[in-house]
Amino acid sequence: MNVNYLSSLAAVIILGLIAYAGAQSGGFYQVLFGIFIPYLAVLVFILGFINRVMDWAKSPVPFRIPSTCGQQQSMEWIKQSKIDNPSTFIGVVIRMFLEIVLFRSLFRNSRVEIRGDRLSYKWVIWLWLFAIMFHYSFLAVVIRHLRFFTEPVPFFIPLIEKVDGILQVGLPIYYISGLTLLAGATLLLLRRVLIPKINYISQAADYFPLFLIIGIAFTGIMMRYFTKVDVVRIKEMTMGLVTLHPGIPEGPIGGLFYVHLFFVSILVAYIPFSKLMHMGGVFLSPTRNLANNSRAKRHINPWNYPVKVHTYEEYEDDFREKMIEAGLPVEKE
Amino acid sequence: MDFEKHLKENKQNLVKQWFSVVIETYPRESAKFFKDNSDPFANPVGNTIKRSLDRLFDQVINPQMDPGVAKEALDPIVRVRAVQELTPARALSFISGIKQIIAKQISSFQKEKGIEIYQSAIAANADEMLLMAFDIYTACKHQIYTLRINEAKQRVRQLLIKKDLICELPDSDTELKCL
Amino acid sequence: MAKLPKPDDLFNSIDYKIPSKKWEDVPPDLSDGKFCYPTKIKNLEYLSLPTTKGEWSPAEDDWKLPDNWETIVREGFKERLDKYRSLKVFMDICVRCGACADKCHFFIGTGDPKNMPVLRAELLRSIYRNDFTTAGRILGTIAGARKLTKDVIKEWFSYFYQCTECRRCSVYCPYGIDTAEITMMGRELLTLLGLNINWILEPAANCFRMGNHLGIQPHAFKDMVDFFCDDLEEITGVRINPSYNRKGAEILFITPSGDVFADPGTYTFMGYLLLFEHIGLDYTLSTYASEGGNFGLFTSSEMMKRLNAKMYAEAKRLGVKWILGGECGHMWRVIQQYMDTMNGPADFLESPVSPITGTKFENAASTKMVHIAEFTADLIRNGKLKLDPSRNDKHIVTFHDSCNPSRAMGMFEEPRYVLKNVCNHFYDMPEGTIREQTFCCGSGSGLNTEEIMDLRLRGGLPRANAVKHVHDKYGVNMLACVCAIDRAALPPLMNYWVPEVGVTGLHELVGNALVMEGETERTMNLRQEPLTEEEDETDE
Repeated sequence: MNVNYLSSLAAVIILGLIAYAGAQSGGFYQVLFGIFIPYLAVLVFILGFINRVMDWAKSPVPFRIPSTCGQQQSMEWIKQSKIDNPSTFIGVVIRMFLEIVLFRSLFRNSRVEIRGDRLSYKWVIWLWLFAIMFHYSFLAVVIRHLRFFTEPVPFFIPLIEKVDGILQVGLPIYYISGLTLLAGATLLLLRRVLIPKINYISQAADYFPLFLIIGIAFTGIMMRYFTKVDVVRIKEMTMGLVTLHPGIPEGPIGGLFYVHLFFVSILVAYIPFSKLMHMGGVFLSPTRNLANNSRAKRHINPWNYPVKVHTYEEYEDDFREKMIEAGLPVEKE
Repeated sequence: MDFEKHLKENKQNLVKQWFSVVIETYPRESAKFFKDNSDPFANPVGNTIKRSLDRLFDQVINPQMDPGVAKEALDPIVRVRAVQELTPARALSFISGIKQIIAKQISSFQKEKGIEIYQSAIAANADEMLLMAFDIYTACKHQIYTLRINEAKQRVRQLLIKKDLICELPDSDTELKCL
Repeated sequence: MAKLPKPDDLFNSIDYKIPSKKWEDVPPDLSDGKFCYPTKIKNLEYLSLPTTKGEWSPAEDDWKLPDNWETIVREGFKERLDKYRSLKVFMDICVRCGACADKCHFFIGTGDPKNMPVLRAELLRSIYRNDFTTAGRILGTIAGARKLTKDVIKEWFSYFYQCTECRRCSVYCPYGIDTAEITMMGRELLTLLGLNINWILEPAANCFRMGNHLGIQPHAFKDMVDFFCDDLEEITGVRINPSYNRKGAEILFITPSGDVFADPGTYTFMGYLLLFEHIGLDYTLSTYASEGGNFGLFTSSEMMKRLNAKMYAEAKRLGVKWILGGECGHMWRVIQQYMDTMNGPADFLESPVSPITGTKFENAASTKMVHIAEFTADLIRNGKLKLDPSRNDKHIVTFHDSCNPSRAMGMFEEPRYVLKNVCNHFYDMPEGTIREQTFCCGSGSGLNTEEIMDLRLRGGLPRANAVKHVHDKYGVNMLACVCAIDRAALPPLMNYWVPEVGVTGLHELVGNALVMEGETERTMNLRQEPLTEEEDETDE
């Protein structure tokens, strides 16, 4: 047992119970969990996110330090690896795109095995696969939820829903993304719990967001497929939130919804203070977002300052006689 | 002899147990890495140990152990352990482990004729391996110290020669280079 | 026959199980042989760096830290966060996914969990959270924060000097987090307290004053190169007279001084001399800028700049057109990623053009410094070299991609192209152990000191293991490289793990293959060994 994940799990359960209890108490508490906290969370998120990115941007990039993962640009008869070792802005854009959209570096994990006399290579794809599954499911879920915040619903949302519901099973139709989000988060969690190496490096701050997201996915799935909450009322409420005319709709919405909303609020507010900022940070990583052209184009360091050096004159003063004796040219005879 | 046959048949499983004995000397977090990663280039430690134990097992259960083969099989694993562990006891304790593993197998063969002789042969093999391992370990440590000394010497040798501080003996009977 | 002793008794007599504790609670092993010797105070003083309160040893309890050490570290940390976006971003965005964990050669060789790059960074990150983040201040250990104590400083010293800044982990990190960057910052903070190692600071101090790591004086430097020329005359029959500190030469040649005083680097130096003679290059060597290497890189960015400044200063004084750089690893990290930014613009130099082939080195247009492997590859491509690769026939060669030219430059094809033209037997090591995924020699970033030989041999095991594979499979007996630290560190590594394999610089093989004008028939290679194994026995 590990205090890191137990405490995270406990925290998420307690948060869930608080929201549930609040929703059951009605009145003021519904306003608190349904209006006040979501607004506060979004505010914290926006200000926190901007603040964090501004804070990063405030620190300069004094040196051009890309990790070069392929052949450099050199003579024209040597084929350059234009994406893994970009020397142009376009190359960098493609490298970043592949990094952000396909998690290219994670994909680099390979393993060798010797079979008889031959070497065989295989991809170690589990981490990559779980990560892709998790992030893309999350994205799909977020986009689907825009339905609750737009009127009329923009064209791409039904489109995504159609793709997501391609299995055409169940009523309401199962969305794959909900399930894969839950599965992805669970697998990433299991990885942390079960692999000793990963377990050793994991902190409460690694478990907490996973439990929180599992909680969000779980409550979401429960509402959609099992307890069947009143979607019309929820939309009335969420539209009220976005149009800045918040209100709690008449009639019951269900405690689960408040738990769901509270979890989301916590997650959103938590992002700027946590490792979840990697979503913004990946764009600013100097080993990835710079071209490897520092010998061709001078990179400027804004805080470059003069330093004490040992000049040639000082050097010659030290050794002049010996230099003359050895027949080495000197400045001052 | 049935017991020897039994050991041969169960080699894979027994070597695996022996491997675990070695691996347990590492921190839990790394043990799994050494154990599970079968990539010989990404995990040279685990794979070297595996290969060595596999060959050693054949020797330890062989009443006519070939000391040459055993020594050859011991070298890679001891070589790794010699740079990882500072005391020979820690580095080489794994060899005794095989006695325990084999002893656990013996119960249903207690009645077999000559079992005691075979059992003591195995023990003697393991003991001899341990002694050989000490030799290898010491040689490795000796080699490391030599490397350290040579490195220190090598760094300034050319300089000393050139500064006429030392002379190099010539290849043949000619005059000294630095004179 | 007596029965076996009870196996369990035998077994339990040795307690080798390592207690499973949280990493924060495991103190670093600072027994003798596990740490690099600390620097002598005089080196610090000479370089005007802060000092401890007296000479100290990592094995002792009291490290004689300055009284206000906490303030120094905190302010130093803050300053660096404000100066380096890399540090700030890398402190914040790690998700501890573990992709880097088993990529470090020290982890692979030692199994010490704190050698996982992610934990090495956590050593710094935990303090960052405690001192500089809201979450860390409020939630403390739950948010992964911990207080700065003297034990933390000791842990830093232990583990930031068990990282060779090779950047292999940064290749696999989904956010490009570069542990080299973390280690450099960690070492800078330690240096603020006067904690540094002798193997780094003594060469740095020597280099500052005398122009090179060993402190070779100008006349001795000339003597030693002249000595190579004597040997070359004996081997080839051709007399070479290089010039020193000569004004008006077209090109200034700078290479690590290790190639001047330590085998097998010396043979590489002889290879350079033959090459330049062969093509009639108008070049000069400098005794003032007689060091390509830069141990400042392993100390602080300021020290790196102070040492590096000599290259441009000397090029300017001598009025050369551009600079040619020899085979070295970290020297090329400095030139590729730092030099122009720190000490440029080099507007007194011309954009480099090969005087032999007319090739413009566009990729070096601003820094005005060309790598010798690029230069030679271009010569061969244009048919300017007369080569007899069969003179290297007794060598079955593989190539070690040095970390810095690989992951901070991307120079993979040039040296291979040269190798394939100067020798007939070349085999690459397996994928995953070469090019951008190359394994470090285990001794980079100032760790090639003899007192930690065990550690170096452990850290170099993944590299040696891949060499052993090609040795077993193809009979490889020579490991070529383009790095002076490699030439110093790989021979003991090979000696221990694959004793049948020797180590050579790229240009030693070039020198062997070069057919010089007016040369006598070659019977020896640059090491003055017979060209083929057979000649040992046969009478001529």
